[in-house]
Amino acid sequence: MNQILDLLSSFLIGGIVLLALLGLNMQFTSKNQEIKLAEITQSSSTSIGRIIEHDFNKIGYGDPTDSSIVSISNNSITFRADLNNDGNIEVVNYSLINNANGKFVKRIINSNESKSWLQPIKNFQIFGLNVTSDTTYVSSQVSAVLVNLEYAKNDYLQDTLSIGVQWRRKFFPKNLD
Amino acid sequence: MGKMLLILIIGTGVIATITTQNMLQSSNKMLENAIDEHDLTQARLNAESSFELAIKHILADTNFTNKPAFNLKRGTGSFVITTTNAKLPDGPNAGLTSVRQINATGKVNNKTVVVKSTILLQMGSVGPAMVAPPFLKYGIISDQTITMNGNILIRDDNNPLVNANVHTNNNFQMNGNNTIKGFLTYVGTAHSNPASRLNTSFSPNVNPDNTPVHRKVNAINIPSFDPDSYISKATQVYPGNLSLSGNRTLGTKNQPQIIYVGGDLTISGNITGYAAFIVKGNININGNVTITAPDPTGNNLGLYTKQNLNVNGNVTLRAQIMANQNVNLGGNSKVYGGITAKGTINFNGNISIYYREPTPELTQPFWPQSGGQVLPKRPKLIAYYE
Repeated sequence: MNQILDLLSSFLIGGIVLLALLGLNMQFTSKNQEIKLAEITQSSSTSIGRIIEHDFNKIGYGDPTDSSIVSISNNSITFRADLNNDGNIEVVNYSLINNANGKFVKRIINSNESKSWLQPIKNFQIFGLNVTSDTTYVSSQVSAVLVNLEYAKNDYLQDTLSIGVQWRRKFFPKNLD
Repeated sequence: MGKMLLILIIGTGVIATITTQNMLQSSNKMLENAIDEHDLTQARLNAESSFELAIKHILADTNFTNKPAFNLKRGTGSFVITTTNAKLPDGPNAGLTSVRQINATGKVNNKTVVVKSTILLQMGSVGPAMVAPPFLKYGIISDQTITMNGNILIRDDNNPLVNANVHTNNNFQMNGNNTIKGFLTYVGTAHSNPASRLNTSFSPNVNPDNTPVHRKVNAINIPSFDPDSYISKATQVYPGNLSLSGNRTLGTKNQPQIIYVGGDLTISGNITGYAAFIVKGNININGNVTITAPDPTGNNLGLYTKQNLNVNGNVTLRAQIMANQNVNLGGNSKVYGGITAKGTINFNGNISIYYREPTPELTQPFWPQSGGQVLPKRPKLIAYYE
């Protein structure tokens, strides 16, 4: 009788320890995935951020016209710039694409669809700012551009996954002066 | 059972260790990524700071060419300035002049940002910052008829490069022997007795174009003068009469004193420095007025009155004179400066006027005039490539 009790007790205790170990393992694995996702998200956001910086800092560069920003709205902007300093002016367009597959930010140069670039995101916003930092979407009055980019995470302010899910920068393109 | 549990614990420990290692790696990568971003941003700021520093140097010296790597709070900055005709950095010749290309570099750790820009210099133009108004640039000038009855000398004060001109916005009449080292200009008519004196009495020091020594011209505006309009600019205010004698120290050339007198001003004695007296009543000069100043050949004193200026006796007066009414010169008066009157200039005796060019610092508060000087401005940015 005692032996049966010992066996049952050891199974019970062993089971509890086993479950605890499995739980610990699952938690580690889950956290590992979370951090890995955060790393990927952060890496993606900085990558797209660098592309945006590369283009937006050159707004108006080499463009002889007074209106280098062709059009601007809350979710798209089209501007002229000599992106690679070769004497040719490119027309650059950034826009938010919202379709059945989700939301994307699209970068397209000279309306060349074959070379367009698409990046899945949660949100993409453009704010044109005038000299007094008021929002304006009148091209001729824009002296600064604020870009806000969000990746796909709803409660990005709470946990590890919040890392890199929002990228926000204000540009003061000197060639617009 | 015990062995199996031990194996499970060890296995879980291994998995946990590997997972932890992965998490640490990810964290490190995120940290490195963040540091990279920060370094890149800092390098960009260093490049922009170098660009601004280049602008500062080029404003001070348009021939400034480069500044090797210098330390900033984090990282370094440097810039190279070259002369170019291009509109764009490294671009083709666009035929532009006064253009510089600035290559500004910012470095932080292994991150380097280069900003290339072209700027147009706006260095301004030379010339005096301010000049005296035209109606003060005469030996004598009046809105009324000028009559000279002999023994009047109007000439330069040992400066043969200037003319001591006479102008009237009315008629000119001359009798007897007068000597004027300048031109006569008038709006109405000009007569002399004998008639030839008009040609012989006027002999300008400088006449490169052989301009006739007397001629009819358009009127020169002599504005009305009211000291009350300038009382806010006065450094000293005397609401009633003021009598100055003895020694008096006034302002400097760049900061002359402006002395408002609400009544009459009587002045004599020694004056050191620069001042403009703006007087609501009459100005009476009954004794010598001696000026001590770093510029003994310039005008150190401005006497501007709403009414008359009266000089009596053997007076030597060194001042620029502007009277809203008449200027009455008597005795053997000598005036070193110039006389402007909206009223009549009356000569009663042996009068000598030694013309000195007016000092703009004394006239600027009342009749501001630009000398055409354009101050250098910050260079204009033509193109900026990051």
